[in-house]
Amino acid sequence: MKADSTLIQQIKEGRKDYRLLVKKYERYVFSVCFAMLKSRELAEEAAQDTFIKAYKALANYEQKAKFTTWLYRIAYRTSLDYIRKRKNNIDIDQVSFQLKDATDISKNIEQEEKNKMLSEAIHKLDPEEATILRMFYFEEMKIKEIAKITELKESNVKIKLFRSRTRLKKILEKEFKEF
Amino acid sequence: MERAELIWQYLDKQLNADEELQFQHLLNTDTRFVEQVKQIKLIHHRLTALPLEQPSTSFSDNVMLELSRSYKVSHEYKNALGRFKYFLFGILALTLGIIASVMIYGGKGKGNLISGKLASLLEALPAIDTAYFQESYMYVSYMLLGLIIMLFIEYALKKKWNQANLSL
Repeated sequence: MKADSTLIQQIKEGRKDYRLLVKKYERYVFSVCFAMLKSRELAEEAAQDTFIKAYKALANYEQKAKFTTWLYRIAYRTSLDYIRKRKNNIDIDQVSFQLKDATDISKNIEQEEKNKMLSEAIHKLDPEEATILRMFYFEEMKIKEIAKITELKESNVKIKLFRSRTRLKKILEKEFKEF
Repeated sequence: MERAELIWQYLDKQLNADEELQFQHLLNTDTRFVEQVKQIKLIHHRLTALPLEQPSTSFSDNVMLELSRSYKVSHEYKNALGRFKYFLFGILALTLGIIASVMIYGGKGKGNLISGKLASLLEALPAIDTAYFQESYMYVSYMLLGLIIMLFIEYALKKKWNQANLSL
């Protein structure tokens, strides 16, 4: 957190490039948007919008809130706006899952296969549940933080998290038996 | 608390002492529960190890390009406004100069625009020794005053902008 605040201050003063912040958090922000929108193209667009909004608001960011909470909240709201605007015609079957370059190590291939199944199963959850689940497993992401991002009560987040995991398990058992 | 929830809470390290005991008891006595723990534990570990989604390789370039585009437009607009503002301030200063001049000299019978209390109030102000000034000098001085105010505002705005300026 201290590293973030130093970097943000340096960016504000023009001593560091904003690109550093984009590079640092692009995967997190993209993951939030992807969990919500279930389309790589839309998620990329929403993630881009998130960073542009964050840039414009950075001068007013007072560092009272944790930077990641602030950033993910922008990502979450931006994705919600995309859903509300009905920009997305989500078709689960058409969701493209990009895997990283396959290596020739079978263990890695197997691991990637499992990850792919898990990602597909997560994308069968509803956007909010998928996002909460995804954020919960981000590094150091706590229920309290998720509640701030989604503007839900902590108790609601807990319920939704439990529901999403239960549903995920059912989906995996039903549709991905080899998982 | 249902069994699945108990297991998830256990994995999240959220169980209190009583629930922990309940969990351990089920683990020691119920083989179906043990199987359920294994399944959920597997999903939990896979979820924990699930890598983040990767945007396209050009993602950060696209963000920076989009930002530079929007700021270029904004700067072009600001520059255009910047040039225009000198003209605006000039007109404003000239207008103020004319109004002030008419107000000050108007009392001498040259088309007084103010009257009554306001006029006497203005006349009660420390007198400007107009012997040294011609009307044209008055206009120039008000224009200069306008210019100084404008430069001060610009300085203040620039200072604020620089504070918020972020490196692209």
